[in-house]
Amino acid sequence: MLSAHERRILDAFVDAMIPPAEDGLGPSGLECDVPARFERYLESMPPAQRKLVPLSLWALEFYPIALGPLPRLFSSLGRRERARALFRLEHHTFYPLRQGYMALKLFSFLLWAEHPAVAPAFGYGEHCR
Amino acid sequence: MSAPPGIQLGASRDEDHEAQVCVIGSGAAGGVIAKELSERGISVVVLEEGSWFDKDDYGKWPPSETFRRIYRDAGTTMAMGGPRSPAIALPLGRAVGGSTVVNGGVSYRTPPDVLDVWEKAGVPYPRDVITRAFERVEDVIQVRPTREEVMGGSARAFRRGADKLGLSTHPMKRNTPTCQGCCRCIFGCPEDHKKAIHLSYLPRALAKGARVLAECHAEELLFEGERATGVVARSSSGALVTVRARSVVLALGAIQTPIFLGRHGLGGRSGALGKNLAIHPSARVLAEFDEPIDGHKGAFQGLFCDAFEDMGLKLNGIFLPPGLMGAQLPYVGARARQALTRYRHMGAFGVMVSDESVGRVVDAPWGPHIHYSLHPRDKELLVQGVVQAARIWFAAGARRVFPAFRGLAVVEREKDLAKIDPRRVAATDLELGAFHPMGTCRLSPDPRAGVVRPDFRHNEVEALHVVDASWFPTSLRVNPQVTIMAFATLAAEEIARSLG
Repeated sequence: MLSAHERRILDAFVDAMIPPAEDGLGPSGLECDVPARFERYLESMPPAQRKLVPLSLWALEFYPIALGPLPRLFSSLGRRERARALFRLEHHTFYPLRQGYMALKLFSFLLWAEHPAVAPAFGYGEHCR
Repeated sequence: MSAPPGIQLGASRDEDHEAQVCVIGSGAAGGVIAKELSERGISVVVLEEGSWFDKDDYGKWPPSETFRRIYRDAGTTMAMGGPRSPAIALPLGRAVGGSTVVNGGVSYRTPPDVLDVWEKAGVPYPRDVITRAFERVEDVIQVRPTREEVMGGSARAFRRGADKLGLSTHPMKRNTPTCQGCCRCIFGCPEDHKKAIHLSYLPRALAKGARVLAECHAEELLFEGERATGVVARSSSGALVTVRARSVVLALGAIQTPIFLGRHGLGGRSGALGKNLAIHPSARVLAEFDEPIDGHKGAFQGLFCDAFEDMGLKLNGIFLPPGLMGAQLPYVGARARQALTRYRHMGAFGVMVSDESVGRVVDAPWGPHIHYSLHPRDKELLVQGVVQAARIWFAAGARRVFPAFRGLAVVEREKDLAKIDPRRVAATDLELGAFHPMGTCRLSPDPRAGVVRPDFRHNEVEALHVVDASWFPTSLRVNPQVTIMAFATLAAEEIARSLG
């Protein structure tokens, strides 16, 4: 579904967006296999929406070269710089760029928070079982 | 997953069926038509593109699996405007029961002033007839106000703030009489407490002999001269399913119905096909409290505030599952995780506008394209609504509020809300969703102005009826399921009469 390079960008995105942390919420996005599950989810999307994901990933990859924080590809940045780049996107005025970023963020958090190693930390729906 | 008797999943070989009426779509409109006609002794076949699911399915699925299986386009349907208008998420159900399987269960009658407008637009029914239809629907789907014990911590906190400001709130009326407050309505009620169409209307239709052919995508209308005589559908396994009928009823929803008609060259004469789209654009306002409020322990939509209805604004309670909450919070990386550790401290409320924006649905090469540019009036109203909801959150004691604007992601002090000028916020600064498409086959007594006649018959074809929200002449201002169901009840009378 994604090329090897696109998958590397997605890995870099998920690693920066949901890094390992000792906060009681469980493993990181990569440890929860979010990129692979994201790829599987893509198979369910209609072609038009599906094509927007690689586009968003490539925009993300070249974005730091044009707009910082360092003039390098996103996937080659360290985690800290990637997180800084993503935070800028959170409020970017160029709407298509921000929208693509928001879509990647949405699916990353959706797939991470429902992972069996993470979901119990939130207790969502537990009280009904 | 095993469907009840009368519901057939994905025909494996070519089949021919005969019925007096063939209904396309099994949601809020199609399910009602099936039940009302079956109870009159009229034979009905319902074609449904989605599959049958029950609580044993979606009760165990994680959210992404539900989006993938029960939502059209895996939940990624979007309304897109021009470069100055935001993309608006428009999730739609795709299952036996339609969007009623995955909505919040909110059940309100058409507001009287909207009925006044519709009367002038050609809706012919006297008010007492419409009222009886509402009562009939509310009885079948068991509409009740949300009980206090399942109101949820987020709604209670919001109500506390509204009370302090002297703003009126009310428990939301919903079709979930025995709700236990799992907050999972949008993923299908895991305990069948929500009386969605597949648990209320369809069982009654099946008991009277109606048949539902699920996983069958309607492809072609059959005609004899100017008269619709059936439908050809393709099942998920590729088999052709032909249903011959004396009357065909379109209940595919306001996005798919105009596409289906357009592919048959029907409805274009009026110039209204696919146009006049309203969606009720909505924003979300999150809040964080010092103390846990446990918003996730309660109804997904338990409360609403009607204090701003004269402006065209409604504040509706919602709550978000953790993944969607994480995506909404304006943080990245470890900070985002840190914010999510406060999930039990979070509140959420929605702001819904009865839109003046007018969109359209176009049959593009890649499928239905939903074009919707946010009108400046609606944009300003949404911003005003977000500010009002934020004020209420602060009055409730929120530590900080997240208004979901670009450039103003977090507000720590109420006085900072005064700096927000709705005219200076760009439409693309807003993160919006919408859930109520309507109006794309507008009803009108004038065939030059509408696609559907006042008796729900199509203007150009005999024995073809349109009964979903696409016939609505205007935006509605409330969640549409009861309106759709009540008028489908009246449409069923018209259809029965036309069959003699």
